[in-house]
Amino acid sequence: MKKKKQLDIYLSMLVTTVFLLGTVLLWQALERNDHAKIKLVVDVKRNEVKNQLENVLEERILSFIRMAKRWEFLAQSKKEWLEDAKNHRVDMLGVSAILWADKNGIVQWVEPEKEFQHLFHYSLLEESKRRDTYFGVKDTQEIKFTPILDSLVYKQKVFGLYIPLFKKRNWDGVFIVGFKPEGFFNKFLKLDGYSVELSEDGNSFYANKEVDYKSTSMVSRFTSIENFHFRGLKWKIKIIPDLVTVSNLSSSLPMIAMISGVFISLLLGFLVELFLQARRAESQIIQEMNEKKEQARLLAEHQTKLVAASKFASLGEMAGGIAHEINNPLAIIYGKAQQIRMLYEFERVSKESILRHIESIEQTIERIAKIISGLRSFARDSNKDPFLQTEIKNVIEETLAFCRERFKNNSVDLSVDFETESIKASCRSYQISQVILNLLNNAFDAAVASERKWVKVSISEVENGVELAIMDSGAGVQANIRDKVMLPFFTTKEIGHGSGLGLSISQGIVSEHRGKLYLDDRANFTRFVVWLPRAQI
Amino acid sequence: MIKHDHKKLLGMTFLVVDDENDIRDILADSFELYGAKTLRASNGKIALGLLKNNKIDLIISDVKMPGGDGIELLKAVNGLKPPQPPVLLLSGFSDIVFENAKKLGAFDILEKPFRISKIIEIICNRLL
Repeated sequence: MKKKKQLDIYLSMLVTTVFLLGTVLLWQALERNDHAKIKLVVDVKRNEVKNQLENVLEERILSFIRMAKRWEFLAQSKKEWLEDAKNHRVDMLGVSAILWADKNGIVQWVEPEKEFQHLFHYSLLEESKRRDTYFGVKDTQEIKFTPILDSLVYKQKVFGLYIPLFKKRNWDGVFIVGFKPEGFFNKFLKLDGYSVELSEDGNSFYANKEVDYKSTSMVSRFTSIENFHFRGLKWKIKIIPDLVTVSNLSSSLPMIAMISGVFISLLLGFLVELFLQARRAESQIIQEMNEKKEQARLLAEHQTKLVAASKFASLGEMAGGIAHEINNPLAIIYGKAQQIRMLYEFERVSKESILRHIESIEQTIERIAKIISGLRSFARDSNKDPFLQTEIKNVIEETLAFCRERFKNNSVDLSVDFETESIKASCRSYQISQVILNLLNNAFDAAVASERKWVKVSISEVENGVELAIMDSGAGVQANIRDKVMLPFFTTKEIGHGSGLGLSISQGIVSEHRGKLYLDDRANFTRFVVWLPRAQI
Repeated sequence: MIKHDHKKLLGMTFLVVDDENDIRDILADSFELYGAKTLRASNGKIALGLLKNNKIDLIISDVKMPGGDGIELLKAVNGLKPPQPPVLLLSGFSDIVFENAKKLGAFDILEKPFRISKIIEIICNRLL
């Protein structure tokens, strides 16, 4: 049983473990799915940002192309141009300045003039990146961006847009639009919830915010990068979602699955253990029941043997009394026979005397016959006898026949009180005789130890039956054992003198008669009552 | 036929004590056939009463009787002065051991069922 319990615990632990493992796998799958979803969202965002970037720059380019067209065809005065440029610059946040450099690459006009006056006559050919861009535009006659440059005015990175200018199809220098990436991109890119970094040829030139390094590990897995070419520049966009964004995008499903999985696993383990416990208890109960059945069977077997033994024990107890009972009648018969002989010897024979003696002999023989008849109840199995209407008085007298002498010899006064002449009940007379003898034996044992020494037997008619009572002068049944006297094997007699079965067997017999055997609580002395129904149904 | 001199019984008075009427009468009637006088009692107490007012030569008594048994009677008789009649006990089913009865002063003890001729013989040969 102990080993089984151990095994059962292992089993429930196994169930819990398997389900926990399953939960972890499910959680992982859901997480992976969730991550992929977030990654996709970030990729889409990156693409969106890139498109925004390209679109907004293309718009600027178109706008400056139109400005270049006006330059070509309207022959603007400086004032007009400055007005035009100012309009463009004010409209376009992040555009720091607009310049015109002539066909020799020398800056001639600048808007705004005041802040940038030191750029007048600055030669684009002085610095390599600007020079390269300038010649690139001149050679290809196409719009170009400069790589990221150090600003000539601010201490920051900037980049420029060079737009070729022509007058009457002749090269007329370039417009230069200076972009401050920070202002420009902050204005035009919608980057809420994301860290975006732009770099050109490996040099970072724009970041909308400082990346929160504490949450880097949580969010870095969702980093999305794209390298792309724009107007001849190698740009790279790197986008990382904020922790808030990630958590907003994250589904609570994996966590719910995890928590409920753990809960279900534990619950299942617990239920399995409960179930197994119940099964253990069940098998234990069955085992105990079987054991009890076996015990009951053995007990019944022993009881049967003991009943037989107790029958013989009471027979043995009676044997002395029976010998007495038979001895006296024998002496009478023997004596009468000798008397008849003597009458002949003394020649005193008369018809009357002989008849008187023979009558006496006959009566005495009947007396012995009664005793023998009473003994039969012990000598045979009366369990299957039919219930017959029987004169209870006769049953009592037959029983008394072989204990009268015993009572007499021990000076126990035995009185019998029959209320009416004839009281009949349906019974197995031999069994009832056995009950009466048992009660008489008990009464005798109690009375003989008392001072006054008497036993009273009485029969009376009661409603629907017969009441047979046996009362003795003994010390009485103590209150604390009153409930136990009918129990099998309960005895107050010395070891070897009582089987403790007499009353329980008697009660069994009386029950079979649908009667009652009880100790009368109201009597002052020990009074056992047998109630028998008048008729058996 | 009885072979002893039963005439010795003539004129003797025997007290027969037994609670069993038939046994008492068998014994008493038989003694009377032999010419003895008898007194009859159903227990020891009655016997003792008869003893006071009658000259009795022999008591023949059963042992177990309600209301005064044979042993009590034997003890009482032995306690009497002047000299008391001998007591012959008749025992039922091993009521008393022979030695015990002798010790208590019984003349003899005989077992039931008994042969009347043997009782007469014992009385004639050993007592009278």
